[in-house]
Amino acid sequence: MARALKSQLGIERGDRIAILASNQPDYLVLLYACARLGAMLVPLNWRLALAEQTYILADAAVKALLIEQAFAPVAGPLSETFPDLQIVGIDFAAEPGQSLASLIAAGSGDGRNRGVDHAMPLLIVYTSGTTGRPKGAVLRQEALLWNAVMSQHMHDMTAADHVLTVLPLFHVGGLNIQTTPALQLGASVTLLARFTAEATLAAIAHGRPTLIVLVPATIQAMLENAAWAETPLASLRAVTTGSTQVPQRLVDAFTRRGVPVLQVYGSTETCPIAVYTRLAGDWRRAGSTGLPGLGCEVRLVDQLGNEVPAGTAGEVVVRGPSTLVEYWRNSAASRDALREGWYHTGDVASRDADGHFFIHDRKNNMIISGGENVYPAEIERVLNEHPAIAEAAVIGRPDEKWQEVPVAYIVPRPGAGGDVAEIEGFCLAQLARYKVPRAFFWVDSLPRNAMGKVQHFRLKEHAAAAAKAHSSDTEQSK
Amino acid sequence: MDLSDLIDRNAAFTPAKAAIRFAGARLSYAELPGGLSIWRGRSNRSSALSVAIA
Repeated sequence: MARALKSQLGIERGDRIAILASNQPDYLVLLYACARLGAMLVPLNWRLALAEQTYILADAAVKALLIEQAFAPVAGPLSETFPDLQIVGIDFAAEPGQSLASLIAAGSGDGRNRGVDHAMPLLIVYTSGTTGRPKGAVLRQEALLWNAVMSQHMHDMTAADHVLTVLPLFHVGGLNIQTTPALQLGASVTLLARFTAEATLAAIAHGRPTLIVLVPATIQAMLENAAWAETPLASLRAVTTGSTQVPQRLVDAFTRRGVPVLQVYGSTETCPIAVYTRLAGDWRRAGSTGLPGLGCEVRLVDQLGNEVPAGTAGEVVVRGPSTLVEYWRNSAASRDALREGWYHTGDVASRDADGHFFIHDRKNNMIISGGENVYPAEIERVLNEHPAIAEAAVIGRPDEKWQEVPVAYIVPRPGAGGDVAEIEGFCLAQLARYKVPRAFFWVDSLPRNAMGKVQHFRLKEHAAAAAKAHSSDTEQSK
Repeated sequence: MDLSDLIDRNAAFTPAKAAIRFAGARLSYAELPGGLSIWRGRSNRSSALSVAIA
């Protein structure tokens, strides 16, 4: 594939290639072809709206896009917006564009560019930021190398392992917690195109994998599936989870059946592995996310940047070869997040006397819904564009199925009505469905502190109380 | 050296080992650089395997 990308598409060192596809082998082949050429892969979240995809493609100045047939309807509009974009159909002949099979067949040359090594950037993974616009976290090849070292250490992974990957490869969790570490080590990987509980349980029963990564929403779906009780789990050496605070009952569902559950903490900006429990060590320590990974420095600091003592909550900051080098062409965001080499996560945690980490909350109010990161500022930006809305604030409300769902507090413009269906449609045109608020509260004003900043914690208290009461004359749920 | 050299190393020492399984397809480490489309083309020509691509 590297030969074809270079000889047919003219991919040079530093060029960006995007992919819009569900999980499949060519996703990973493309990643390593980019590594060989010194190019950067931009994975696109297929749950995003066209407007969001367009923003990312423009921001990253992508030279080529590989697209799966299932997403072919967006190829036309993208081609009109980006006339120089080279489009390749992974499993079909893209029009305009060509098929990957014909591209590879025509490939020639050595498929190498000069001056490529582990210091080259390899991934730009977009994450929605507090500014309301996605930012591209740039990860070097050495980030994936060190991330793999940590994964192998965490899982005691060997070439004999068999990883079952069900989480999407467009997230670093699906891509890098087990998948790329396994391939680099010479182990085997089974890919599911998309997660379903039924397919995952069948793949465990018939494929007998040794390792799998799941988020709480996928574990919950598996527990609710009729095949759960009969599915043999004996092949699994471990289930790895994280992404948010994991309810103990979900952990217990596996450990009761003899499968250890490992915890991992990190973010897109840390590739993602930073802190983890180990199969050979501390996985039984309830509630703990473990110790900093190999080659990864992790500290907890106060608002002045001073390290806090054991038992005291502080912001998690991370430094090491697996953390991002910058946000793509966004020096302001890079300066804000990276200070003296330390990546400031915005997450709050504490450590016990033995140094084990316990993650408490997200300083930046990020919502995690069904394993997806949802940033209130991004939704607020869209809501604030609506002509009937004077201002809006979004928070996460606990949800039994999705862990959290976004809910919105709306201050209407004078004389404007509150048409929920119309506002939902407005959001859906610009945001992925999982980001659209599940409930709307109309209020006269938003609670603010002395500096004029919205007090999201007060809204969270209100939402929790409203959910408990289960009815409110101001709430209009979907 | 770059990250793809690790895949080349596996292709050199364990070429026939399954790198990726997907929807009935099996790509060995030796076959990996060509990707699924090449594998599918070969298997279609030989009719040796039935591949259900999701």
